[in-house]
Amino acid sequence: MATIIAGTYEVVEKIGSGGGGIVYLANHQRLGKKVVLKADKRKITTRPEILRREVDALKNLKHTYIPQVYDFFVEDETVYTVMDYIEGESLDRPLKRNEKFSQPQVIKWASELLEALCYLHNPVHGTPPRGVVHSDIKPSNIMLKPDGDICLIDFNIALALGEENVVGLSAGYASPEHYGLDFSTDSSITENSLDKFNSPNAEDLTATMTNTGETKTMETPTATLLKRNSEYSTSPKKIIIPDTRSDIYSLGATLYHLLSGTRPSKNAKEVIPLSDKHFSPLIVEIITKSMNPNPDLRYQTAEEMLYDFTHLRENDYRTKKRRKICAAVSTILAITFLGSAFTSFVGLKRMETTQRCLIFAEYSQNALEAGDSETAVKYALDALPESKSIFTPPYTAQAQKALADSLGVYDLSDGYKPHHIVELPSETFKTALSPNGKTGIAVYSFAVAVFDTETGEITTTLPTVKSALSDVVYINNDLIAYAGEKGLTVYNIKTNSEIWKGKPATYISVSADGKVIAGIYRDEDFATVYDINGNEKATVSFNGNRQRVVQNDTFADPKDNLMALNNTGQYLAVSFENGGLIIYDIMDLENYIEVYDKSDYIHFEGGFNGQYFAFSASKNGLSEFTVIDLAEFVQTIGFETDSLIGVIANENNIYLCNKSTVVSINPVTGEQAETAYTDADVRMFANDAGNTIAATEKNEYLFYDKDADLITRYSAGQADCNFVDISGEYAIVAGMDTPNIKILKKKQYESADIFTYDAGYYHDEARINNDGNKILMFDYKGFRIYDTQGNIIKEVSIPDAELVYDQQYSRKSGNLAVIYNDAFRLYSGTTGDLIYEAENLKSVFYAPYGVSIFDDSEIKLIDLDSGEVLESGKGSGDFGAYCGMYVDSSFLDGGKVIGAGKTESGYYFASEKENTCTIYNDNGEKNFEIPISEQTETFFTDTEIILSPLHGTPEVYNLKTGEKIADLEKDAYLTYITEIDSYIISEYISASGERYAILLDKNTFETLAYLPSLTDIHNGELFFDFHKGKLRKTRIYPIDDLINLAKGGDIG
Amino acid sequence: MGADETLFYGGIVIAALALVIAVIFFIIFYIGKIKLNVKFDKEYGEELKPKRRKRD
Repeated sequence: MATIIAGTYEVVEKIGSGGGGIVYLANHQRLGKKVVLKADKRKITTRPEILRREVDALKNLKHTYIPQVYDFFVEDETVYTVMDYIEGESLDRPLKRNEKFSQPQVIKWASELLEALCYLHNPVHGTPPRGVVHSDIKPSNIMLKPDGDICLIDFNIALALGEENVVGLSAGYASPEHYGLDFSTDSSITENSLDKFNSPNAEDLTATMTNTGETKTMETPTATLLKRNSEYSTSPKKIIIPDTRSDIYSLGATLYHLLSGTRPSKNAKEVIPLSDKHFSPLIVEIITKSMNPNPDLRYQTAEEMLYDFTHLRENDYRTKKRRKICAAVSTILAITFLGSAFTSFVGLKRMETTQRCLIFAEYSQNALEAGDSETAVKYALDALPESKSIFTPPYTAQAQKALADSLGVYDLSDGYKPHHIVELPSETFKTALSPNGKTGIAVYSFAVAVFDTETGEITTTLPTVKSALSDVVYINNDLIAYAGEKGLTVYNIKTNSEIWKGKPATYISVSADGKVIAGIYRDEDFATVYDINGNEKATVSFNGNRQRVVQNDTFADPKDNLMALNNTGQYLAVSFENGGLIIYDIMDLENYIEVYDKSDYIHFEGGFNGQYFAFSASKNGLSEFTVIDLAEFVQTIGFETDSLIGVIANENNIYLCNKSTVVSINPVTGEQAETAYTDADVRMFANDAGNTIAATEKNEYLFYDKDADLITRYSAGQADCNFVDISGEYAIVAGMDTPNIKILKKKQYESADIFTYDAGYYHDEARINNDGNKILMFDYKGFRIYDTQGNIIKEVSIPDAELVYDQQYSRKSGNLAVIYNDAFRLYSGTTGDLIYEAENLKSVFYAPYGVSIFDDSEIKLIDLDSGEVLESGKGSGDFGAYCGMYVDSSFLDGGKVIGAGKTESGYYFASEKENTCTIYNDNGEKNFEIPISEQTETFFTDTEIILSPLHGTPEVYNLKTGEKIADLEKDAYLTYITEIDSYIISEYISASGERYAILLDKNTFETLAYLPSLTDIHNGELFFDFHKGKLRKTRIYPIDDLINLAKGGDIG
Repeated sequence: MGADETLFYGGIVIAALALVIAVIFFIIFYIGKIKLNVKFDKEYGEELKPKRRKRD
């Protein structure tokens, strides 16, 4: 017959028993549900109301891995607990069968158990702060369900009943605290007590102990949980209450057993750690930590331990290692990426800045070419950025050149230099300078502008006739006569007042004495002549003849007409549309000279020079030039050419311009004196006090001195040069296609003079000796030695001058070496005496370190300072030279030496053979080869070699590697290379024979400045010879000095 | 090529190279991660997701 307990539970079968009681499978008769009925034989001392409250709390526990407790009651002094029936078997059974569990399986169960413990230990489920402590976790209390999950059963009921002293005690699983041992940090436990604890019989026991001291299976006193009451208060042991950390120990021990198959030692100190060779180190670590005898060093909560189990992958050393590698590589790549991106950005900004600087430098050069030096300086400064940040590139060579050129610091030639630009409202019709050059006048549509040449400012604007024919002329420095809109007007530009006004006029002429003024209005057939006060002196009738005008003269002036008063205003010469040319006598209008009644000439130019009237008449590219003596009424000069002839006749002279030549002509003898000669047809010219300005068809304008020597050449770029004038210290240039008038001012650099010599002495070069007290001037024919006062110390003619092919100056001694094909002469720079002479030589070869001469069989290196033989050795063939080694024809094997140099790293020389230039060192070893196409000369610096072909562009190569570095000046012949500080100066002769030099950056060989007429470099100073009887010097200006100078600063 | 051009183009090349290396590295790293996860699955079992418990 079935046993019914509590009238509800029908016992089906006994499913287990142990020290704590018996476990039955029962049927809940009312619910028809299988339950587990656990009968606990232990005595309950808790009062009923407390019991009820605690049981209610236990019944509220609901968790996946914990069986639900349904009831709790006492019957026949036995406590019954009713709970869920869990199918499956407890884990101790497979352990007894020696079954092994895999690590992942144990990890899964550990996580489930820990979740259950987290739930149980939560303070809301038990007595705060610890919640419910299971206190007897071991394999036999863990049910493995058929679905593979586990369920933690048999949590300590006694504790749930508030019986704190009643605990489960399973050897090997129970924590030291279960045995009353305290290994915590502040523990005072002794070894003796541990010895006793280590009793061999303590294993395999599950014992419980009540607070009455009743011991059921306890064998050693030290393993007994000490009671809290007073009867144990004298005990040397502390009263230890197992807490959540004890559960963690038990769980660790359980996992230890499940993994290893071995129950851990009862003594926590003697537990053999799991091998990390067989189990994951992290698992071993977790279990070891959870089984630490010292509860303070264990996981303090189930959550902590669960966290480690759920973060195994993250905490695994391989993951950490990968994470470290990833972080390191990512950091390196990120830094590399960001660094290189920043570098690229810096490069981009610097390139942009460089580009901007190059544009400004070009603007500067354009402004300078246009004659606007102020704007050129401004642009050059813009091309040199001030900020010195990482984004700012170094100054570009182009910008440095632009600033040097625009400041003109290296142009020490006297001459007309760009001064100002006058900007008119519209294109220029006519322009002129006052007799003293201090003011200028210009006609545009439709007004006259008066401007100050010093300041470049327009001071007055006066309205004119609405015609391009409108004239304006200077009467003197203060008065002008212009084609005013209401009539010919005389105006005082100094007082800005109108003096008088006459009849309408477009063409105006003033007598040279400034007392008579004549005007013609468009194509009217008469001229009105006034005295200086505006009184009409005469009206000259042309008897129906008219000057040549175009149909619409608003914007066009054919400039074909001649209208001129002579010096006194007595004669008025006028040309007509029908080709007629008549000279009227103002005093006697019936008396006139009819040069041409009419002709097929269509263009006339000319004027009066004293008693002479000079003019040219042109047609279809043919011209006739004639001079008439008005005193004698005879023609003194007359000739024809097949080209146009320009004529300017004034009180000073008569000037003719034919093609590219401007000459002055004697009106009596016809003798001509050249005043200017250009390389293009002259379009317009002007002369004042011997100085001539000529504008050419190539849109260039050139200045010549009284000796007809070219002083300065400027390009107007794309702008035409239709009008030029020169007067006093000023010159102006304008074009019909531009509203700009360039003002140039004569500048002289006498303060830079260091030496004066006879300008008539022809020479190519001038050199200053080492002491700076003698100047040697030489060309192939001879030389002169001057002292600094300009006294000639010695003048020497060089014999066989036509055979001389090179001359070299030695700075140290001032000696001059004259080199022939088969001879060598060395002259003293002090006395001019011949120091050394050798003739009938097989070869002579110059190098900066000495001259090599080769006679029959001996090569000698001659010192240019002493004339002594520095080296001598044997050679064979036709050529021999010392180049750090003896080089002769046998070495060259048909080649020839084209240059040699002594550098910091030794001697080098270059030979030419079969269109190849080979560079050797002084051991005769080839450095490298460079193909060449024509006769080539070489120059050496310390680190570079420069190959200068006879007609091509010199090229710079690295002396060691043969790598090409730069091209030098095109279309010029390189004569010298000089290293000076951080610069290289290359000197040239242009195709037209002009000598000049270029200041180069030593590293890049980029052009930094143009050095016109440089003749020598000594002690860091530059010497210029303009062949005008003076040597001038200046220094090399570092860029900072130029910037200071441009900003108006003091550069010392 | 001037220094600034070298900075600009060199910077671009190195940055691009770093980017390519980063892509290659992360692909290799990702494949390694997959392989390691397979090892972890064998060693630790399928990845455990911590369950969210409701407060009582």
